[in-house]
Amino acid sequence: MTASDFGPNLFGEEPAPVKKAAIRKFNCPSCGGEIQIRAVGHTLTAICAHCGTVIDTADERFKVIDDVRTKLRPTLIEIGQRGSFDGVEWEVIGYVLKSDRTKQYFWDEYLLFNPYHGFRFLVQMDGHWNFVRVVKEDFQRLGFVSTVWFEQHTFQPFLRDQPIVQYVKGEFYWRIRKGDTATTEDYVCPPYMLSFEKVPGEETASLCEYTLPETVQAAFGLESMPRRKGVGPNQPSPFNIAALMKAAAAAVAVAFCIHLAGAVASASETVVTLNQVFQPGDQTRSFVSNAFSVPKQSNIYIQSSAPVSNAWAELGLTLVNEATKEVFELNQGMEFYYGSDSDGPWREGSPNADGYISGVPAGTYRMTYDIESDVLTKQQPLQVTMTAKRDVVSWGNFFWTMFLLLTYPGIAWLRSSSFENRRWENSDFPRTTSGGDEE
Amino acid sequence: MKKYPCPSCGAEIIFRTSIASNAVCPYCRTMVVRDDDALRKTGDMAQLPEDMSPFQLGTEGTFQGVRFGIVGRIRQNWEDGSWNEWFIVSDDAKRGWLAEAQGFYAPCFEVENPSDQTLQAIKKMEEWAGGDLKGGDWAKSPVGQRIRFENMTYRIVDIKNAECVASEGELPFAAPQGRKSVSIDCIADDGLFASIDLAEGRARVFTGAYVTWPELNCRYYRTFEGWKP
Repeated sequence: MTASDFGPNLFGEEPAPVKKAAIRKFNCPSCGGEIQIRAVGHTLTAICAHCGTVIDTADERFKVIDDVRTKLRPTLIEIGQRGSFDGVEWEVIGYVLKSDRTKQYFWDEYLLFNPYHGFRFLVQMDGHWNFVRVVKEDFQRLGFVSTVWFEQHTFQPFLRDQPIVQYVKGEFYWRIRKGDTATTEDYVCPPYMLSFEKVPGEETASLCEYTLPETVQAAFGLESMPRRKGVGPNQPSPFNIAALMKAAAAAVAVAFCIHLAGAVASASETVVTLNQVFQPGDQTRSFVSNAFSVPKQSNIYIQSSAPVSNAWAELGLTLVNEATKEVFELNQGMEFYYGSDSDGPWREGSPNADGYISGVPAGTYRMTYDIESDVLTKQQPLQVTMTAKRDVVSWGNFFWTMFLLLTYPGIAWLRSSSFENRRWENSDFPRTTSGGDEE
Repeated sequence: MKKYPCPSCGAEIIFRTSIASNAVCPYCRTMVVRDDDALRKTGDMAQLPEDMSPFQLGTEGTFQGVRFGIVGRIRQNWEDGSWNEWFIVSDDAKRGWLAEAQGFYAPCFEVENPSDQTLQAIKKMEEWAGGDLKGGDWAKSPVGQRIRFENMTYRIVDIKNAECVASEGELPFAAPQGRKSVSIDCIADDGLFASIDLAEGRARVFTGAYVTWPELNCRYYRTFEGWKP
């Protein structure tokens, strides 16, 4: 064959379009009622809408698979209803009610059909919805303990189950009847879930995507929806903890750099020192320092020390701007007590004190200080030392900044952990980590 | 493209591709084979059952960047249902099949000269099948096993004993109702697909991939009342 045998338009003209959808109708072998097939050519099992008889539609013999007549049950979405997801319209053609082995949990599976796009499933459990497609892929799985990699996502093993078909209506492209069982293994990576269903001789993989109830409600024009209970296996966490942690880490790094730059640039210059022995008889215990200059707005860091022993001392400091007379005050209390009682020896307080005067504007200052102490009252001398430095880096500020920066991420992390714990409490691998159990 | 009169009803039977040797008259459903530039009747074809397939003779699509057209179809039946094998011919003169089952589409082209590795793989499958190519005892089912051919590791996902329900259009062989074959489906990573077809004592190997309807980018497909493609 040469290329000329076969041009870009094989038939030269558009073939006549087929207008009507293929329709296949037959009468129920059990009750005689009319049954209509929607997915003609695909459907292998049809359930009579009149009497519930399950019929094999593989050929024209219409063999009865299951003649247990069941009352037709209403469902949230009915057979024949159509709804659009991502611009593709789907028709509900089948419904399966399934339960777990213990019949404790029940869920709905709707089979959706579109003649061009094939089949999908819509699954509802505890108000959580999943839009599901079968995946043809050679999955590498090593037992139900290790993760599965698919489409750039890592899926964690979540739950193994043996679902049982409890009720069916509509039509299906496989043979189905009440009581059918399978083994399923679910892996999660919110908003996705990979589900492997095993029946003898066949394993089917499905990719489930968490879908908001509002999306399903809008798609099918439903009036009310079942309330959401708990956390769905693949429900996306409302806490974008990874992004928040990244942001927090970045903020901490920036704060640290700013602080470090400040530390490098700081002058840390001593402006006043005091080292004096006060006598009980001293008439005055107040002094004024020499004038010193603060060339730019900065803080003043003051460290004081008095060797008090089962006694106290208080150094009152006042910083006065020579020009504006603006006043800054700081009290440094030193008290140190010790002893022993029935619990053994104890000690309290410290003979040292330190503190900051923040935001001191540029200018010329003098510092006045006065001392009070019960040592002096007890007629004993007291040695007091004090150093005042300007433009000192306050690591206390830094840690305070860190605390403020990390409070919200910390709370968010706890809440996120709590959400994850609630997700995983329904799995085969419950998580008891992180102490984030709220309430 | 060549036109012949139907040996049975005289209507025009068109062979659009030189690859096809057999055809079914679209009017009287007479099966014909092309012998020395004339048509010979080989039998009567059964009516194709209706279905909701989006494809029809003349539908064009794209696979792996190559444009193809549908020229024929075999409707296959097996234990658990039926599916369509659409005979396709590509712009670059390759022939293959577009498998359509359960709403999944897998175009694949025939491996013209299967490698030794592939022949060995087929031999191994025959051993698993108890040496019977025409199906039968797949008791020691190799389903689920991995096997390497055409430089790819495939997993065997199912083995079907198929029987032709009916066929239409141009075909590379006679496909009368009841024609039996064994169809072995294999998948690999990234949705890659391979099929080995055992019929009339020979094995044909096809490789392709699962694709979605939008990916096929079809023209001249079927339209259905009430459905938008």
